[in-house]
Amino acid sequence: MQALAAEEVTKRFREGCDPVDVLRGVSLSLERGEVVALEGPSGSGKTTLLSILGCILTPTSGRVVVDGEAVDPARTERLPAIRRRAIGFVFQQYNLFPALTAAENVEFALNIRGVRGPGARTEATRAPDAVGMTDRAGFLPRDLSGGQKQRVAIARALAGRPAVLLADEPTANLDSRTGSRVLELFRELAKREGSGLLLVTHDPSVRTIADRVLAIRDGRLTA
Amino acid sequence: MCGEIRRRLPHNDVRTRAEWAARSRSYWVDSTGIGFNMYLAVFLRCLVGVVVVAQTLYSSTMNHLKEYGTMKAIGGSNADIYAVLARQAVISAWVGFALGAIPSYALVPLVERVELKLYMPPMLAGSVFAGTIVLCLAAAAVSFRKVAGIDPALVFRA
Repeated sequence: MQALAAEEVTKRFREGCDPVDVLRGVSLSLERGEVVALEGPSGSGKTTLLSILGCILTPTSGRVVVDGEAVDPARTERLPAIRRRAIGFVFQQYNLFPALTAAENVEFALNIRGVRGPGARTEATRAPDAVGMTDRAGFLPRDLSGGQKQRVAIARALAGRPAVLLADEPTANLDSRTGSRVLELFRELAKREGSGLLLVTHDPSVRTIADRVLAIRDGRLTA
Repeated sequence: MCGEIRRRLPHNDVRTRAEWAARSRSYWVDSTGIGFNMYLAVFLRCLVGVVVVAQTLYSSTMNHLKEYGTMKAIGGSNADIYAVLARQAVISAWVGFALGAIPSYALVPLVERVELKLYMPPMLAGSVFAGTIVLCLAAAAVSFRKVAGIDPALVFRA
């Protein structure tokens, strides 16, 4: 079953009076349980594509379908609801909430997804176990290493079992050994939870865990 | 009894205790300068309080823009963020009210020693607390506007 599909997606920005085509007819699909790596140099349009697939930006033209729901660019008020229901994000900078513990970060994400009370607390207690953070669940982000923060970020992204996981350079701030472990964990959890995982990366080691590798250059997919 | 006294003394003002108290208060508040000064002082203090809370909340909001952007990116609506800001405003109200009420009530026995009366009925405390909450929520409006315009795409910027 398709978690995500993009058909002929383009994105044009205006820089002063000049139009800039950042994406030019990108089409891709992501199945549930599939791991896809998206590689490309800086300025190739990776982050813009990720923003569009993640329903943060709308395309200038083209079609995006997330977990069976077509994204309507004219109804931007629906975008937060689609993100809430179907998309989990893992960011390069982790973006954990600094005043919340690891478990509370997961619980907060569940609250945003409409899961509250004992159910959210139970899930928030279970999630750190799944990412090997049982003994660190009560720690604040400032007391965690980079690899540990990224594990918490993965647990937070998977809270609520979204259909799609989007990761923006998840290993960029990690050493190679920690990065490899995080990637393995990512793959294992995505497969287990049945989420489609799209990793945007410069890191060639991501290829080892990906079912498919896509390359983007100058706003077009080349492979 | 009041009616009977009025009947027997038609050319005198006859008032109950409560009516006399209200009339005395009205005289001091409305007919002298005390009332206007008091209302002006209350208004100015509320204004200063709103500005201080608004500035504090706005400064905190600006320091946490990335967190609010992350909330939006992971699916949080503006209403979710307003709830966070409202909670901060209510905490400010509680702290401010406590800092004002505790010394005020502590003054009551001290003022009685110099044979004056500081009268603070529960109704007054309740209405001041409610007013404090309302003013703090109003102060948070500036921050509400700021977070409504946060672009969730900022989470992708270093």
